[in-house]
Amino acid sequence: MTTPRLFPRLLAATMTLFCSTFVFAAPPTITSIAPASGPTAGGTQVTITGTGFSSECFPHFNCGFPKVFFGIAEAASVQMVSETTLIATTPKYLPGTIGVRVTNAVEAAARELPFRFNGPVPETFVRFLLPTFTEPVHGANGSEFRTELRAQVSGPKVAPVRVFGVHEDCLFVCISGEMDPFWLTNEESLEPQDVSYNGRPAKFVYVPAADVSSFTANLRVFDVSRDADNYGTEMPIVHQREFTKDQLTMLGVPSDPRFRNTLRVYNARFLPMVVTMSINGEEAARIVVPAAIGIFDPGVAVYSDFPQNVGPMTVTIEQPASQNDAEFREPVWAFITVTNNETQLITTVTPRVY
Amino acid sequence: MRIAKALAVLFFTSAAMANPVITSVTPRFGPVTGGTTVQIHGTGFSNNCITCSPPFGDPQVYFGSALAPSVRYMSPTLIEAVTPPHVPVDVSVSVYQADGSDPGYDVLNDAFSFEGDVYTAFDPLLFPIFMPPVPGQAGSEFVTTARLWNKGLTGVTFFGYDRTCTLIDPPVSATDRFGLDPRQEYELTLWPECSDSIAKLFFVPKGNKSLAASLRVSETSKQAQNHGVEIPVVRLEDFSEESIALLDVPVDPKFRLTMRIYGLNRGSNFVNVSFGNRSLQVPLQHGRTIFEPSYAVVTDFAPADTAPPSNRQDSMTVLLDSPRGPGDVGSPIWAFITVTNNETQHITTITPQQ
Repeated sequence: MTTPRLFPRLLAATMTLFCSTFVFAAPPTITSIAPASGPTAGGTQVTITGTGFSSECFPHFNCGFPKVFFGIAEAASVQMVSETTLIATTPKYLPGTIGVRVTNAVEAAARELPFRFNGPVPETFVRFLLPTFTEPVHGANGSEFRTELRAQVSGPKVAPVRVFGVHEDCLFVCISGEMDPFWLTNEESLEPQDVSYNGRPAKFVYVPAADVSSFTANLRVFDVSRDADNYGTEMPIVHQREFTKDQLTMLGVPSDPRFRNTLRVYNARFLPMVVTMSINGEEAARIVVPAAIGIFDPGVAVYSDFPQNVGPMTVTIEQPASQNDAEFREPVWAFITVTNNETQLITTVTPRVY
Repeated sequence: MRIAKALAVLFFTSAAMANPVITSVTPRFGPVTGGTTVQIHGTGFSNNCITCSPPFGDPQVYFGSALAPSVRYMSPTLIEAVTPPHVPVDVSVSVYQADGSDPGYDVLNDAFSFEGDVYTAFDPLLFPIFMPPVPGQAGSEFVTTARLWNKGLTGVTFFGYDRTCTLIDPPVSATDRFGLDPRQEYELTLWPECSDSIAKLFFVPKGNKSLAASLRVSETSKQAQNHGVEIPVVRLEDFSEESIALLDVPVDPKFRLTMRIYGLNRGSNFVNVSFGNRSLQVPLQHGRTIFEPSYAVVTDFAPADTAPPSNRQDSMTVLLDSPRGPGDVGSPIWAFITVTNNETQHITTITPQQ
């Protein structure tokens, strides 16, 4: 397992040695980039001006330098016009502001300049919903609920899996905040202490589509005050394909007064929306789901006014009949937590589609 | 006009009173995808139909309890019918005609065999726990309840339930499959002491995405305490042909761990499991019918005697690796762990979320 990881390092070390010996290359600097924004679909030709750009890394041997990085992604192509001008084509990227960096064979530019991607999340990223994602919250009867997220690489993948949105690791100046991914590797898993919360109730995280098959995660809610009694409750981590414009159905929801039911509905778009909640086929409520705040923060509606003593309930979420045309509907996801009023034990009722 | 119709009915009912009798079916087998044109030989076939207007109509042909999508009446001794998609089992062939004869139908048992790989025409739905009520420790009793809901607007055929063992509410009459009516909820429970299998594979037509399902295991003697635990119903895309990681598995004598591993009866007949510093090769027991998954259970999670103290005592990651079977056939597996409190019998799950 060490060999494939070690090899590029050895190569880099060797190259550095050769390059620093034979090439008198100053470290590159960036002074400006234009334009400083472009669509998330990529393909923007960005002119990067600076000094010390060099394609050499070895006499008579072109190693593909200089390289340009937009955030963590290498530019789709780089054209070296001169030692002071590069034209780089943007890759597909998440919407947001990231840093642009130029690397010669020997050294990277010390300064990053910001570039803003605008538009929808491209299909090269897969979105996952963490339905509860908060700092410890106090519940009834002295209970304290804590969310714990863990993630790691599964399978033989050697390259890291990059997870956007749960972690802010800004050792120095942080251009991008949440846009900096957590790098999961075979050695480094994501543990609860690595996670940053922002006071919002839920979270969207993004994983590059190429990394998804090696990404595995687990989300649990613990009642810390009763740690000994149970091992918490597993919360679903919801792949974007679980979001639907059609009906969401939760079967066998209790109406027993010993339990309290909490329905949460999640919205990914930047406009509020209305959904209809029905119980056993009868419309019971219209619920306004607030707009998402950013690509990482879904809009969340919470509803808990369920009837009691009516037997097991089938709860369905649909978009109102006036939004008949599927084009006007937006994908949503919802689930119910059932909590015992006395013991505070939680269980989930999720709507999976088969 | 009305008189003419009445006369015609009278004429045909008196003229065609012969009861249909099936003597043979050729060919006697065909693929699970359906589409085989089958000749049904016999006597007394007719295309008179006293409830039709005009009073003619092809007979109805069933393969098992699945209706043939197309039927042609050729002569009083020959009918041609096209097979529907059907799981690979031996089925009866039956002919129904509304020509006024009594009883107006005939059934030939074990007349046709559907053959081939069930997965070419159907998608599996794994119910990881589908058991009759079982007594547990300390007077506990665990009851499995499955609910199904068809959220589409057309019926969905559902293969694999066994009417002699399964109580369905509302009741259905067919024996090996049934049509899930639109917007109708079905509750499935098993008779006590009826089945010795742990899990169940049901089959729905390939690509169907209109079912919602819910599976819960409830501890009935302590019903007041909780609403049971949600067990995921597993789709084909949830199975992995490579590896599965189960994160954050507690190492604590307060809890007992049960890991259940499921396969689709193909590929390798063992799974490599590793946790802490132990690795095991776990044999998978193949199902006796296509409705039982291959299955293994692991309950011994004690660390190796020679285990050095690990840096994290309280939880571990369990890795499952699914080797390819003979002929390089992929071995799709799915697995989950239940964590049960030894004292309260409260259960929670750890499922692979990828």
